[in-house]
Amino acid sequence: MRHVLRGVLALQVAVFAIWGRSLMAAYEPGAAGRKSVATVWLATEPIDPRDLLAGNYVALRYGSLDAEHAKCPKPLERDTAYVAIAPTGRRVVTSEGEVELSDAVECRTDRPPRGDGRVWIVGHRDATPGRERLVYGIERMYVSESSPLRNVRSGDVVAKVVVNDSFAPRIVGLVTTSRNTEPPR
Amino acid sequence: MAWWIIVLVGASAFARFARGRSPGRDDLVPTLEAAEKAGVISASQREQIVALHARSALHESGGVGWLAAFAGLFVVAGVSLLVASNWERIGPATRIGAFLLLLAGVGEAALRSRDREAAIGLPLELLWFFLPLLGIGLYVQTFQISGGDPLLAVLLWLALSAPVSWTSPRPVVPTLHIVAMVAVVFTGNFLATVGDWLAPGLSRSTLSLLDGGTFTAWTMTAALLAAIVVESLRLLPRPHRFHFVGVLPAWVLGLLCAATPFHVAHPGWLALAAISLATTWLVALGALGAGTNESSSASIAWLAVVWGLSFTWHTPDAFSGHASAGGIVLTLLVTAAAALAVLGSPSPGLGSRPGHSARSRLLMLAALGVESLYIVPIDGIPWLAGVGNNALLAVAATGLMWQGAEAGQAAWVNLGVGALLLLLVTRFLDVFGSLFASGLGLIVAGLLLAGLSLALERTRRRLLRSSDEAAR
Repeated sequence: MRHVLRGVLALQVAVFAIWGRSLMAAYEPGAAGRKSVATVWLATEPIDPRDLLAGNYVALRYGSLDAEHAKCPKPLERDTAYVAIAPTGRRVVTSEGEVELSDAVECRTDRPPRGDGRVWIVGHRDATPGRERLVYGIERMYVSESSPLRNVRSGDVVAKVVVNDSFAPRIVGLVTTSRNTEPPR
Repeated sequence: MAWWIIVLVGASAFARFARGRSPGRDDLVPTLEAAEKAGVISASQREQIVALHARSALHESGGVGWLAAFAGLFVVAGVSLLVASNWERIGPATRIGAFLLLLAGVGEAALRSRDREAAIGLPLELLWFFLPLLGIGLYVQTFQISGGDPLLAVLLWLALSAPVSWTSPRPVVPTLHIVAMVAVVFTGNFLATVGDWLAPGLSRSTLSLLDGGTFTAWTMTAALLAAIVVESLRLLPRPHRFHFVGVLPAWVLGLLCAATPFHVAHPGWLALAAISLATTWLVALGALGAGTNESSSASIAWLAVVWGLSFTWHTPDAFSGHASAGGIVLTLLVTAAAALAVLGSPSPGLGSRPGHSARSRLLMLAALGVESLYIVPIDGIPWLAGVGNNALLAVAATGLMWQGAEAGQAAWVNLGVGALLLLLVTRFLDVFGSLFASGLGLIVAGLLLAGLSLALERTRRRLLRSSDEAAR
């Protein structure tokens, strides 16, 4: 019996090791044949932080990635949609310097070609009746208990998001802004 | 995570409570003393049995085992909070490495201490059981994973931990594994927005059966229900084994109440489904050979349905509401199955034993007939059925007391007394308004109860006399 259980333990360790390695490599340029990783900045509206499964987090809503704003077909024909995002020209000053915000400019339900020079992110349809919308997997930012980010308000922060060439976005930072800068004329 | 721990601790405490009510341990010493006084056993035999029982109880670990279980759960909750406190300054590689080392270390330590004292082995086993779930939480936090179905993460944990449950030398881990599976099935199948409850911003679960559900949802649900049944029958000790049979009728009732293809919003059809499911549960336990205490939850469910429907004597108008075709067919099938089970089973219902099966069968069928009235769309029928349910409950309670007294089953007598008192108290609150009328009603009820008590006592004495004569 112990040999069987040691095998189970080894399997558990292997599952978590492989999963962890793949999560770490998902946004490394050059890892696993990955060619490109883009970084974009998105305006976001933080919602009250909650305390569940994996600790405290800030729940985020992205008006700029809303299915209607992105002009996705309504109703969505498939469970996934691809949204192209591009810089808007609107710039904000953050603790990481001045950055330009991006916004959705196009939506399609078939997979876009790789390497077309545009940044596409994949969203999944939330099919709850009465609230059809796209969920991107960047709707939460986990923070520590003492993080000041737990008290931020709408318009105070922007989200730093990386997108790999599988079109999967991952939030890597929630950065406070000091002031807005008008778009260049 | 903390919610899961609270739910599981509550479930284990309930299981402990349920086990504590099973017959045996606490009744043994007075029973042996009575046997010694009656000359059935000698004083030395009594002492030997008590000593053997004490050693056996110690081996089973009793209170020590539960202390160890709660010790393990506290450590698990502590590790969960440590993970949740978010060590954002530590890089992902270090976090993953530390977790893998912890998992390997705890798993190996749990393996080495499996056969040692519960105080060491059980906390380690519990920590090993929960560590994959804590690891999933750590990964979610470290890599900012969101937007998916949180129940899939719980399912991954249940799959990874299943071998620990199946090979555990103690019942604690299998009990927790089964309780977690039950929670996943009901949450995933019937909660309208899993996301809002478990993780705000997320949608329905992959397991959702609302509005039809996907093929994957039905398949995974069937697999989980099968796993619950198999694990309960194979891994749990006998006193706990039969509680989980009730999961299946509860799940069918969930199908009817929630917005599934079987949705029923008609109170009459729901009443018929509820009594049919409770009856099927009761008969199924009898067929599986469950004892009096093991089938107490089903008996209480049956009595509770009849008691709940006894209030409908306030309702003059016929019940109405939408009932889907699927829901009607399912309810009729369950009702037919209940009726056939009652007719075909040798122990068809409440407190049934050889010689009493005809009366029990009649009571069960009468209940099915009375609750069938609720689907008839004629005004006055709910009132009539409500009166019928009052009569049914009074007959069932009296029958339980009577048969309990005859069979020497204190549990049946207690259940009957409880049901009758509940019926009397609720009807007093319903019927009597003025002090004079309430006073008269209470006196009449008291006299009736005293008469019933006298009749039961005489029956018990008659039985004792006949057994003494048989012994001579």
